[in-house]
Amino acid sequence: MKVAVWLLIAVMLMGMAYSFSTCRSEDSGGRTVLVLFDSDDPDYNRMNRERIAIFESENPDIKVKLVTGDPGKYLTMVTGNVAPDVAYAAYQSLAYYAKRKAIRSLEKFVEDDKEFNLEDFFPAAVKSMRYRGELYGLPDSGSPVALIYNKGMFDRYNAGVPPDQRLTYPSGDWTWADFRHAARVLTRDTDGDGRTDEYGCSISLSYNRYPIYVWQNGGEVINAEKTRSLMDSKAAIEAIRWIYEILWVDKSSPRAGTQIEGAGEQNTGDYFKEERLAMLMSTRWAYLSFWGKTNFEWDVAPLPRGPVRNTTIFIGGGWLISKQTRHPEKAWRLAKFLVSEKASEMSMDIGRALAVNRAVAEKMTTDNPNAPPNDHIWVETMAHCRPKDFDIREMGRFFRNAVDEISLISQGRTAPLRTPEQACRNFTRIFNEGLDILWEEEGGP
Amino acid sequence: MKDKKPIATWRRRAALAGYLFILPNVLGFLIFTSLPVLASLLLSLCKWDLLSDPEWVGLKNFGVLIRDTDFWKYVGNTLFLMMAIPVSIILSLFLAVVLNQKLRGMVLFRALFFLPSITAGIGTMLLWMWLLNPEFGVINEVLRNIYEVLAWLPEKVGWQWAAWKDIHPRWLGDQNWSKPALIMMGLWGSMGGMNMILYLAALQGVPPELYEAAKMDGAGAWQRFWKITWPMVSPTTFFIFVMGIIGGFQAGFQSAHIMTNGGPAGSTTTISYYIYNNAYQWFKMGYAASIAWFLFLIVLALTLFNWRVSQKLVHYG
Repeated sequence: MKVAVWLLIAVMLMGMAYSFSTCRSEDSGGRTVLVLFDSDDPDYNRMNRERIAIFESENPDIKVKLVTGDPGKYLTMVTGNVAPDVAYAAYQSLAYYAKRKAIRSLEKFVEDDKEFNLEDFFPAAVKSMRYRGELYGLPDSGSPVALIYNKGMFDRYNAGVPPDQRLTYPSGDWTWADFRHAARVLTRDTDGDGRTDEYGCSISLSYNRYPIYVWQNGGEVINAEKTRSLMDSKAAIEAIRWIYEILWVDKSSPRAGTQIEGAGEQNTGDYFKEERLAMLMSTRWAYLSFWGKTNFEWDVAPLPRGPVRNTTIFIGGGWLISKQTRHPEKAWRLAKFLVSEKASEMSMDIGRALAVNRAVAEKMTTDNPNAPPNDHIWVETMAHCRPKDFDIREMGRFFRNAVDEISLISQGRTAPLRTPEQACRNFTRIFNEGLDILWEEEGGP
Repeated sequence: MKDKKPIATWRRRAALAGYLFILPNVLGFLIFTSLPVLASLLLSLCKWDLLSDPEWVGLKNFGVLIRDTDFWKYVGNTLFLMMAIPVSIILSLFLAVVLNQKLRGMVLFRALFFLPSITAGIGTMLLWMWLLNPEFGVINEVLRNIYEVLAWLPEKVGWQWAAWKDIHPRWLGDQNWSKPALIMMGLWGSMGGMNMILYLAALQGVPPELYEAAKMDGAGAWQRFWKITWPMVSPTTFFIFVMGIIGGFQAGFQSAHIMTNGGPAGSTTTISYYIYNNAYQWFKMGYAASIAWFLFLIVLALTLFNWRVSQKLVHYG
């Protein structure tokens, strides 16, 4: 009996000792221990271990401990005062951490470090890492939205029509009208049963997509001060009407149910893989669905030019340094290494997203034998893309409900549940209500 | 007196050993369950975004909750999805009765029907997303074929069936069909699961002489089921019903998170998914805690009600 009791106490003590040991900032060799947090994706895990080995060999005074998980785990660690020294986060969450002073401003590091140059990165990616103009993260990777297309479907269409009606492959010169026409003629009922078998395009009503058309038409989702939504402007309504016409007049894009918000891209990626979709508007992450899994030729082009602006959305993330770190200078060295050419190159075949270090992005899209012929389009598109400036999720249900209003355009059996005008006005009303409450609680944007 | 002392010492030691053995469990319960529960009660009275200090707001969160139209909509969604509970109970009992027959290969059938319960949830949900695809999904394909088969007869007699031609719903993409779609998926998973196993166990506990006596008295199959089987398995039915109600109020998170993101237009957002969104997507931890406590009160009230009602309806022995 006594043995059992002592055994139990010993196990408990060992557990406590272990938990204390993980909090130490030095290992037995006197090296500083930094905690690095990243996705628990196995490919990323493997890559990070290789990166860490290189970093530790170049920085013998530092030992890096890798912790993996999802954004919820990172938030829990920050809340529990055991924040990782360096962590990857999508840029949408940067404002939340920066506003609450959970992460460090990197302005001073950038200023003092003569080896580091922000010019090495795409401006949109750098902009996405700023909060109120101040840099809070080092941009790592991401992707703009571009047009991925099936060359075979274009070729098959062209083979059956006179030369003057043939389609060119999508290019940067395409207008909205060119795109809409191509999508319409590529939408086909191949077996004559009255149902669409091949769609021309996929127009998503996710809030990662429709702002592109609003911006391209000269509109904005939110004003510069972030106090009012501008979705009820003429430009925004016209842009949403353009989407509505593709969905309901041309019927050249699958509608809700085949494109589920959140899971939508995955579905349309599958459609593309199955040759049921000619043009997929997506990010480079979509490659994951069909890279090396297709037996048809495909390529990439920029999105069609909007009537007013040539722009697209940027989605990505970067490395944040915790306010809680006891070794800010060493954490900076680690973050700087992670966005260096050497470390970024190692991510080339992992996530299929684009490294936002310009030199690596160039190499990624030109030296890769598996990449489509015009893969460098992603790099070119980075020059005129922009991050989401309206993604204020702390508005909570107001943000969700506003976004839902736009998605209702895609719903309904024979007619949409919202007209473009109704959807845009409802979006504006709900969004503004949410902004008013949020800024009143927080004392301003 | 002299003899009693060693016994008392032994008892004390045995008691001490017992307490020490349950100590880890009790400590674990106190630290990882009771404390968080108490903390969540306190949090429900605060405004807290996780990174700033909590701010005491009293009952404000509950006041907001009562006026939150979205919350009541999601309560409605949750109740709608819980309509699957009685259907699931009936189907499970039916399956159990069928699988309780002494036929060859029955073990294999039992295993087959239990399979959905041990299949990874995410995998089956992704599969169901394809089955429910309005354009190319199997379910709508079957509906179209049914229409084709049925169409010729009404056309012969001059009935107008054109309206039926568009019967294939857009399932997860239509706010009117998204919940029935999830119910359908849920029933597929639940009717052959644990409920069926519980019913099988209960059926095997029904004394066969009751059936024999009923047969001798001339009772038919339905009468035997209704007068013997149903009352005899009523404690199991009650257990499944109560657990179903408790689980039903907490359900819907996984399917919302994986299949629908709570949409379209919030039509598949349940109370638990709303709690998650408030806590981890919108960083309103205090409000999320208040919803959780409100949910607890609903579940408690319903369970007490069920308990009362059960005394009239459940037959123990």
